[in-house]
Amino acid sequence: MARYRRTLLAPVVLLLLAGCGGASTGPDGSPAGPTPAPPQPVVSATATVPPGSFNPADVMFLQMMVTHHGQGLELVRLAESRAQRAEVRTLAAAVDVTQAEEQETMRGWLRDWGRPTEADPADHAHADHGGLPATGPEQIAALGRMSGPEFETAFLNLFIAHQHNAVEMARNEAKFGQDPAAKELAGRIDQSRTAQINQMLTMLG
Amino acid sequence: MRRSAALSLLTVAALITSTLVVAAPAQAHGYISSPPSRQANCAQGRVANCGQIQWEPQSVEGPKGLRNCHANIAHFSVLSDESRNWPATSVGTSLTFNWVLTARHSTSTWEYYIGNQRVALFNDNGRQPGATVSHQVNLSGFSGRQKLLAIWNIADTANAFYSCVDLQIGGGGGNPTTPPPNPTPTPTRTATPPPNPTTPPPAGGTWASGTAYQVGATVTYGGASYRCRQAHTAIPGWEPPNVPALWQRL
Repeated sequence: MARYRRTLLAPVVLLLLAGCGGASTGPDGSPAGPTPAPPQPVVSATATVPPGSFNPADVMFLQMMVTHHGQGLELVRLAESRAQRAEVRTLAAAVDVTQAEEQETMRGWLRDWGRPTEADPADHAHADHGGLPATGPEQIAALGRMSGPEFETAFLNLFIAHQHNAVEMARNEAKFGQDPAAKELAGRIDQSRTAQINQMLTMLG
Repeated sequence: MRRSAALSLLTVAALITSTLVVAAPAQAHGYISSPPSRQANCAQGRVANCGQIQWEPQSVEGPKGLRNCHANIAHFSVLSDESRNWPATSVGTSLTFNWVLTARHSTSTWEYYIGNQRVALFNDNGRQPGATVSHQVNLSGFSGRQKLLAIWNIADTANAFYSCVDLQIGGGGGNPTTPPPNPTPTPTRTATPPPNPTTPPPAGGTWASGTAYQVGATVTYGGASYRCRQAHTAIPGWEPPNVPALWQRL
């Protein structure tokens, strides 16, 4: 628990410093305090987005999820060609097309909001400290060197962990986010990834 | 001016951070996925009515040194309920335990117990594990139905994570030589139903979670018709209007 507290802090502060969040409200939409928000250059606030329709938690969720989806796509694309069982390949292919689609949707929202479209996966503040989840490039690379039954077991375990992280991020967004569309997406991510985890646990059995 | 702007920025950051931290739900961590731990069996619905653990199998966290399956967490007490008829996995005397981790806590040790006997110990010396961890454990000397308790001891907190795994040991793998001690037949893992078993609807039927759809299958959902574009098993969150990548509206 203590570790988690430390871990959450880094990305939030980073994102704020980078101006990624940049709203004057707290995560729950309430005023962040008596101190006025510092002046921040808003990159390209579009006329279609009313001020206050999203908050820093929405931005952080979308940026982290875009990056997380990128790692997920690498994993399932390995599985589409290497998994031995058809049911594993079928799940991987369906995850591929749905997550690619979600990733485009999320990038579109971030662009509309004038925010960078992903978190930096190489940033250790994310990768090593829980801001971004446990799946790292070295684990994806290790999976890429496997084949046969060894590959399938390793893929299922890694992707279960990966989707658990997605669920955790989605539940945070449900609690702290403000944008209705982003929260609705988070709800569907929670549901669909939970179901995928259950399917994969059954496949591991 | 510059300084006060920086200060207020930090204040805002601190406020938002503290709000997040204080309100953060119980998060993360890890459990044994295979052979399936009790929480894994709950998560996938193989054991029903487990309560909250079904939604967060990775959260069985408690102080170090406990010797039960639920880490003394009242709402996870189902994990220590021996009347639940937990499925036991048939194994040989040498097997691999797979953990999935959702937070990479630096680790002191991994311990495996059967009864009061520690059957395996892995010392990570504070290293940070990857997202998955596997251990080869030798259970020579044990046979029949056994409840194994696995413990992940975190290096930089007072806590540990607990996973119980029910095993049917013997026969060199897969063929238990000893009948289970309890009179009820051991639920063996035969063909498992999909998470939400439903009868496949006839072509053109209503979309239903749990159904395996092939490319070209048509369904109705919310008054509209859709054709399947990508083979998949339907799950909540993948309703046709939500996933154009899977379903084309007709």
